[in-house]
Amino acid sequence: MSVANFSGQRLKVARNFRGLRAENLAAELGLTKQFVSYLESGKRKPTEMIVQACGDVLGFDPGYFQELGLLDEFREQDCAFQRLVSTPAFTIKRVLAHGTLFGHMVAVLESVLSLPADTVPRLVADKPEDIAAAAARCRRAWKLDADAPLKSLTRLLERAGIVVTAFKGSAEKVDAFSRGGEGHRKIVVANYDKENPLEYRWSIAHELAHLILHRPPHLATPEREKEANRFAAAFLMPRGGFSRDFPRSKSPGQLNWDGVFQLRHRWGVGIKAVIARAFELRLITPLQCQRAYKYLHAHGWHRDEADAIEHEKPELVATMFSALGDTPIGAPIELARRLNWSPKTLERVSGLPVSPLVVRMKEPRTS
Amino acid sequence: MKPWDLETQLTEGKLVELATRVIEIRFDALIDHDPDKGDGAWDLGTKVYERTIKQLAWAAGKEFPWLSVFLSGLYIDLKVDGCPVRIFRGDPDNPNGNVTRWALENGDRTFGKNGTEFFEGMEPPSVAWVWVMAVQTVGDGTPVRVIVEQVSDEGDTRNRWAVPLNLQAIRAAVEKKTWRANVESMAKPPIELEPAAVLPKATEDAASDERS
Repeated sequence: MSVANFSGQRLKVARNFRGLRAENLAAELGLTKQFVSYLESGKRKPTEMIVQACGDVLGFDPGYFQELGLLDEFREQDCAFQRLVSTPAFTIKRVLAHGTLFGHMVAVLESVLSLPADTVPRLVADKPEDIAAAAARCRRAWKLDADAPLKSLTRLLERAGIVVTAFKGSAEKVDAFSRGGEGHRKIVVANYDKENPLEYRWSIAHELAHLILHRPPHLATPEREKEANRFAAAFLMPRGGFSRDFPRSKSPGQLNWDGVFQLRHRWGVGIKAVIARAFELRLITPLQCQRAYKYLHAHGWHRDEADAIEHEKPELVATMFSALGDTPIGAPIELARRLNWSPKTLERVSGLPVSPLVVRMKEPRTS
Repeated sequence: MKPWDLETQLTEGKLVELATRVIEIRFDALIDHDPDKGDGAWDLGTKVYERTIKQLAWAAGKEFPWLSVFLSGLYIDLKVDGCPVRIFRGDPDNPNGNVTRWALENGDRTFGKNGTEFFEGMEPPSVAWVWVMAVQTVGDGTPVRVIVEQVSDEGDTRNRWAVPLNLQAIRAAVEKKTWRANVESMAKPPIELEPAAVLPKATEDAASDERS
């Protein structure tokens, strides 16, 4: 094994993916933090034993660190992030590393599989009415009924050529992020840790908005986030259908809460989003809206949405894994070998089980 | 001063009835209005205007026996028991040029600028005043209040009276009359999609097999 081609970038991505800081990895390897930094910046080359140890700790075959060519790294400025302002930089690096590895895996899969063509429209809109019209245009472009609810948003994105994945255990402070850009397969990464299936759907719709409306560099400005939320609301709850469905009050000034909760289930959006959309479309007055929010918070209904609808799951990667049998790769376990990842790492990146019957490579130690 | 204090024929009941009808027409047009399909302010404005003048003309002398209408094409003159009243959408504080021009042509010059009555021997007042009904709306055309007031040909206003209307109740009634009564039967089923398809790429061997 030659270490001449050792890639510091690949080491850094692997370390961030495993959620280790440089000093943690150094401690695991019995090295200094500075030496790990040198390895990652390419100022030093490791010994074969160090490469092997890196692989053991991080869950990669030594060959992974020595493949020719850099990984197509997900950088923060290329991705639209839906996150809290207080999200630590390290958490961002971790989910970006997850995205980088996922993107690499998709690229390898795409070399042997034909994925759905990219049919995501690119639209320009910044005024509120233009954004709502863009959402309607998007439905038309995909030949969807203009006024009906969408059963599975994830499936819609996947049919449009967007690969959706959900990360678990990476970060609670990141809801989702997406990467588009010329020459890249569009990818949406959403947080599956949140048990609220409605929040997950909203995150996906929000990222779809970024892919349609916004170009890199992605600056997480409040305006852009508002635009994405406005698009998500108009796309998930189109004016005509939603207005027709919105329940009439049983008495003036009172909301028909039973009807409102039915809308949540029917349109697959959170109760707060239903109220906000009703207000935006002037189906309720400002006073009714304000009272509704107070009422929701007082009862905690906006938080109790775990069982509101069935949790959508990304399907495209599972379909790709199933289709591997008819390709030279053959099976997911072979994909792991081709990527020089451990099966566990492939499971972590893809979110899918890799054949349990196959003898696995040495698993990484838990950090 | 209330309108009926100055013009006995402009009673509260008639003005409320007239304003209610005007608001009903606007809400009805708003139901059809869909900005997501390309409808804009111009489309809404023209729809509301034409519906209003025609429906008031239909109601004049029948449903509203106190209302008389002169309708010529898209031009309308309204009179409530003989008193001219102009309806417009806009800011009651700043009547637009159409209203002030109409005041100039049709205004009552009986009263001076300060509201004092004109008596024989006095110099005729130069300012003309008319009664208007202003429908104030927000950005998307939703009405928020209706004001009856006097407007002069110089754009001044006076004797303002807000018509007491329950806009939510009017809206609910309009919606009930139209499609909202049949919500259940009109609810469309959710869009169901098949999963995305993935196919193996044709290998060179497979391609050569196909050629042979």
